[in-house]
Amino acid sequence: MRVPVTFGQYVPAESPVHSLDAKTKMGLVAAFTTAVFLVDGFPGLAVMALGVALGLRISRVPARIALRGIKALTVLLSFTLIAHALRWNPATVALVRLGPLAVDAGGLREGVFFVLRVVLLVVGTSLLTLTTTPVQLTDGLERVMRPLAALGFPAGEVAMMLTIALRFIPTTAQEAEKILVAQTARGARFDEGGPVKRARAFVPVMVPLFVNLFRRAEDLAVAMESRCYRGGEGRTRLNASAMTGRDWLVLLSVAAALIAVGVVL
Amino acid sequence: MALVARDLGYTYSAGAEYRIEALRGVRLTLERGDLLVIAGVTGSGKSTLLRLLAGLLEPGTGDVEVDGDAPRSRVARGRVAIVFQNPESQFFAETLMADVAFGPRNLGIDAAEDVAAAALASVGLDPVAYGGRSPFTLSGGEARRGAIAGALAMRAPYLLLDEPTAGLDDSGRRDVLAAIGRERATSGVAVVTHDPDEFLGDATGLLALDAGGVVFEGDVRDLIDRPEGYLAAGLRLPDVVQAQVLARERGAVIDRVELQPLAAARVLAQARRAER
Amino acid sequence: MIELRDVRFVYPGARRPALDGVSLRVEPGRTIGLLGPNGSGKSTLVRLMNALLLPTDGTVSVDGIDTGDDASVWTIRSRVGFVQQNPDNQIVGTVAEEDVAFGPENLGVPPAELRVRVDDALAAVGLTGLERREPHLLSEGQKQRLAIAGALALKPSYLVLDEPTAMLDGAGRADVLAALAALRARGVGIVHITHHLEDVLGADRVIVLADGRIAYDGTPVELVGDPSRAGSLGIDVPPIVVLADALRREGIAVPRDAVTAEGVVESLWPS
Ligand SMILES: Nc1ncnc2c1ncn2[C@@H]1O[C@H](COP(=O)(O)OP(=O)(O)O)[C@@H](O)[C@H]1O
Ligand SMILES: Nc1ncnc2c1ncn2[C@@H]1O[C@H](COP(=O)(O)OP(=O)(O)O)[C@@H](O)[C@H]1O
Ligand SMILES: [Mg+2]
Ligand SMILES: [Mg+2]
Repeated sequence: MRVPVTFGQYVPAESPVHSLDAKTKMGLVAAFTTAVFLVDGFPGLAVMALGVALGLRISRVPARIALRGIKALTVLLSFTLIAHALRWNPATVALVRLGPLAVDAGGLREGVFFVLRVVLLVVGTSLLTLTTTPVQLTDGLERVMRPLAALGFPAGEVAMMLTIALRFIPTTAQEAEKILVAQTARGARFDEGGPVKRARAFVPVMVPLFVNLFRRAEDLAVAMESRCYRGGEGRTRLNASAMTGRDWLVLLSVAAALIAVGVVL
Repeated sequence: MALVARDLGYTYSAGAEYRIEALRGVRLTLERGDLLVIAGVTGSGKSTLLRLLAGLLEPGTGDVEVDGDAPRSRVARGRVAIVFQNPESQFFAETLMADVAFGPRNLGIDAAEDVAAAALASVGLDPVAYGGRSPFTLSGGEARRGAIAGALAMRAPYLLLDEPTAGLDDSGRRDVLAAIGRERATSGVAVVTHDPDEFLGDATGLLALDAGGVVFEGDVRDLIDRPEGYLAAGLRLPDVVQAQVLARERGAVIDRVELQPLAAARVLAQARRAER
Repeated sequence: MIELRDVRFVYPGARRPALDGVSLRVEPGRTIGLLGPNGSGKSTLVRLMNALLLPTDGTVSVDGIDTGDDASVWTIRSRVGFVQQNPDNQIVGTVAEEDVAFGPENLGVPPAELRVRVDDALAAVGLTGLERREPHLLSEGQKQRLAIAGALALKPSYLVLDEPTAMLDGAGRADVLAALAALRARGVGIVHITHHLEDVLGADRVIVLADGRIAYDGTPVELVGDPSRAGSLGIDVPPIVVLADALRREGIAVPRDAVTAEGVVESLWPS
């Protein structure tokens, strides 16, 4: 047995949020995003934050994990804040002055508002990826995209592509690790020299990785053809997911509440 | 002067909830001229053992010494060469020669190309005819030998091979076995396999693993006296040995087990005549 | 029946045909072992059997349907299951049962029947209980049996396998061989490409290809009983057969069909 390679962000747990259909959660994320952009004041943000906290609570996902996504954005967020708050020689009264540089009260407020909005969006939408497996996500996506098929959009094919990508991410990761170790054994060094030298050191890893990927793609095409794959049309599904009454109830009531908050506050 | 492992153990993801004890309590000595066969089913820890011996993993318990030095030390760099499973899936260079020369060049060996040419010759690939070819156009057996040459070019006194004949046709397999046989004249060789048949005839020792633990170690011929652990590990006795074991169970008197089919036939025929 | 009549196949741009003058029949419930050195045309031959390739000359038909008949290509592919060497490269689903369902899903089989087919196919290869397992968490032998189950879910009459045991260890190989033996008993016709004569000692027939032509067509026992013939075909006779042969030369009668350790010892010391 190999150690389960977890990718994506799914946090396994039994919760009312986990058991919602992926399509329901996608609908909720859409409503949430719309609401966050409709909100134009701090009270609105506060209500939204409360909602997200409640969602986290019900889903049993540790807040620590939900907040992880923010870390990656620290630089960007700090920059946003500074860009809004700092003014060059403002005519208005400033909070703090440092030579020609000044921190402007209105700007600061605006910056904080933007930052909080982004944080809310990131944490709120991550509730979807934290409680839904990648497989459920692609399945849901396929269903959501299906109406587009009428317009000629290859919804089935896109979903198949995503499924295959998901299927081969762990395999490719295992393969990359194998090649890395093998080339290390042949004396390759990945930790010496400047950035250019380091990047070059990865050529003996990337080349075989890609060669093998292409070979795999060829085999896979043959395997799919042999098993009668001929596009998304007319395919049935073993585990077709369906929205239940509970899903509809949750979707409609929560979405309505979110939009209402967005419009009012 | 030997490659020595003492009480060697390793656990993946040590400390984590899903840690896997892949190896424990292995000791072995590999000297130049030895051919050690390491057997075990998938997941028994064979590859982990090779990685530890080659210094690609830091031992969890116990230690490894290569001619008296730690394999990860600077002085020991390049003393242990290793050929992974399906090594031909790691080719990257435009020519076979450049690929084979990759190792020696990394080690700073002068005239890496000459060393590479010699390595190609020693696996039975003419460096002139094959050196300039793209490694991606070689046939199964040629590619495997080319990849093995890549390890031989490291000029290491110890050579570890993980399933070197898997997936080859009979002629490819014979070529690889011949190359390994030649290499053994100057190096200590350890071969991981799940089909010990092909190597047992020449092996100087056998180490069988099951779920990370040693279930048999010693001379191959001793297998007939204590095959329990080996068999319980899901390994198959080579048919030639199995025939002698069965014969003995049915009352034949066999003192010394033979590993080669012709010698084994003599033993069985003799036992049969002795009964008359 | 799969029938090849005087088939020649030339890859586009190739100078020599990959197959030339090949005629053979695959019958339901029978196993053919297909051997031959690398490049002798084995993979090409089996790809002709499920319309992945079409013959340059000659004809290939499956239960009377010509593989060149465009309208019947999906019928042919569902009658002739195809399994390749590397199990990792042919598993499409993200969990075992979804991979098995892939074939019949493509045919539009209704969900209720899909479930039955998936469960049957997994049971046939001994993978019941691993329905929700992700492929990369299966052993190589399990993955290859999963690939076989994926072919079986199409309810094929024939199964062609291109070196299905080449990447497996002894245990995985034994499991796959056992699964194939069970399928033969159920009436599936099997073409099994391998490099190991041992793998197909139990086959009804062994065919050896050389340079795109059939160089040997007979029973496995006949082949191992004639080591010099096998040698000239580039096939290594299993050590136990060499042993049996040496016993015969010592004047001990060992039947020709004794090709296992048990068989040989049985003839010397009957139990
Ligand atoms: N990189 C890894 N991370 C976690 N577990 C591993 C890793 N490599 C191997 N293992 C586990 O360690 C055990 C021994 O594996 P390995 O040494 O590869 O065995 P073998 O070569 O005999 O098949 C197995 O349970 C395997 O799943
Ligand atoms: N896609 C291809 N294009 C051109 N030539 C090919 C192709 N596939 C195989 N060949 C050639 O056809 C011959 C038979 O190959 P193949 O059927 O793969 O043999 P085997 O499976 O016995 O190793 C070989 O000479 C090979 O090089
Ligand atoms: Mg291994
Ligand atoms: Mg082939």
